[in-house]
Amino acid sequence: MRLEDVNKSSNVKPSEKALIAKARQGDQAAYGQLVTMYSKKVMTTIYYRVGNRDDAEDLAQEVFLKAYRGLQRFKGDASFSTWLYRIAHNVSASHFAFKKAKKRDGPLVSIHQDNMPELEAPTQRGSRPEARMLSAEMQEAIDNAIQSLPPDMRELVVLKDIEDKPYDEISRIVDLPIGTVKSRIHRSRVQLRDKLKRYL
Amino acid sequence: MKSCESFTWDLNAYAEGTLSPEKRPQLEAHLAECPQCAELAGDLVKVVKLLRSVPAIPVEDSFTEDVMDVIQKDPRQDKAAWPGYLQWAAAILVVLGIGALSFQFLKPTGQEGDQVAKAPAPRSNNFFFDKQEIQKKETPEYDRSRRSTLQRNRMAKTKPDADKGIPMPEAESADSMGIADGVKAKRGMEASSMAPGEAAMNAAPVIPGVTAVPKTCDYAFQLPDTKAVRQVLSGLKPALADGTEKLAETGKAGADQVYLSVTASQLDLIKSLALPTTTEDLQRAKGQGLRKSAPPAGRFSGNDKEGLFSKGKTVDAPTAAPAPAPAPAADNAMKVRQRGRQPGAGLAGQADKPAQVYKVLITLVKQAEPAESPADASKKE
Repeated sequence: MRLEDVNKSSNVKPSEKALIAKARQGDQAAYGQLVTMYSKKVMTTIYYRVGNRDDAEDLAQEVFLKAYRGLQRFKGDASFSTWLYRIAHNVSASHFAFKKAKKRDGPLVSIHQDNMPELEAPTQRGSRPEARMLSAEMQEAIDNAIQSLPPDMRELVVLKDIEDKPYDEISRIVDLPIGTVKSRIHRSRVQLRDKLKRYL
Repeated sequence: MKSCESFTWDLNAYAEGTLSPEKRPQLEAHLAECPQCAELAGDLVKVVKLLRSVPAIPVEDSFTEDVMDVIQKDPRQDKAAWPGYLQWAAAILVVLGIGALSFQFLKPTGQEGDQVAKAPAPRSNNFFFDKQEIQKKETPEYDRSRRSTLQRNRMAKTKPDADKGIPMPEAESADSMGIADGVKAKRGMEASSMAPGEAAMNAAPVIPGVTAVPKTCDYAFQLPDTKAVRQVLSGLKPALADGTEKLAETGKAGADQVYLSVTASQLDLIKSLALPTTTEDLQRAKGQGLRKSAPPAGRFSGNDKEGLFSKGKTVDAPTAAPAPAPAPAADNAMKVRQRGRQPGAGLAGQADKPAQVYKVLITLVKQAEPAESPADASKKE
């Protein structure tokens, strides 16, 4: 795909287009800006799926490395974030396959307790007016509740309710029919309701 | 009336705040009638609200920097910056290059075991490969250069002085017997490209006029091509198996000359043998059977397949060895081929008998030295 095609694509934000175009031409500074823009989103998705900060950070790095390698193949049909989430989904799946092979799943260690000063203020959530500072206890409860879900359902809930992705985009990311995505998200929410009853 | 399940997706859309205005009255009517769905709707709204309040996972401040470090260290990072068509073009070029290299290196270069010395190839104009270098590796000289370290050391010990050359016998020299080129084992076809010592060590022997140069020999003797010489050599050759893969070689060396090439150990073997050196010995052997003296213990008996030199064996003549033709009558065998002025000219009556040939050979063997360097040889010329 040529650069012009990316620039014409309606799924890529104007600021992203310029950065992506520069990055495709080898401008690493431009790609660094893209990494900064999407690092938290990718990290969040991966963290809630793998349940371990160290692993999540390593996998997030791998996601951006793979994205850079495959930048020439980014067609702009979907948004850049969707493309990144798709890579993150694949990288996480590979991680789980690897872990399954080694059979060494560990318990979730909440990162929010240790990193509370670094948490974003609710006003930084932008499109999330509901966002507010959570207590450490509630945050840990939410982490545990999410981790109690099967990994695939965790990812769907995170994409939908934490990352606020539309269903069709989630469907493309996880490569599942949109009906399956909706029903799994519903089941996940019902399970979370039961786990988080006392906080509701 | 619709069932509760039919409102499942609407409930979730309601919790997300994305329910369409058209569907909202239907759902609200159902929730008013169904307390379970009403409770679930309330909880889902709270769950979604709670999840949306979960902050993004923070990353280290150095995350972007770390990622860019990883990218810069990635061996494929240059490739990532290339457009797709350039990557394909590069891949095709690489494949073509590998194919060309494979063709150059894997193409057949001659028969297995080919021992024919090849003339140096002309300098190639090939841009990518030095064809001359490749062909050089296909020559016996190159094989020679890969001889074992042990053999190199042995050769170094017996290497002559650079100016010494290979002397001929004084009292009964080959010259005096008319064998002017009785022994000349020059080494190195490309002497100019080597140091003198290195050439003597590494290059294959070169006998003037010899078209077939053995790959593995340390010494080469050139003798006139007479019936007697052929008889002696054909008898000697199979007896010189020294237990290695290297065999004594004989062959034509020019128009009227033959050569015998041996390894250093085969040379020692010849020295250790009690060869019939006089005509009387052979005559006696013809009449009574020649009993050879025992060779030094452990040196030869095990390898004398023909039994020619074994203790107690009767040797009629060197023709007892599997010569191509039966031994001719002595008078016919002694006839010397003379064509012009050849090294063997004037040899009739001197090296035309097996005993004389043995004698000459023993003399030459005693004085044989590995080689003179080609540089010295050319200097002498």
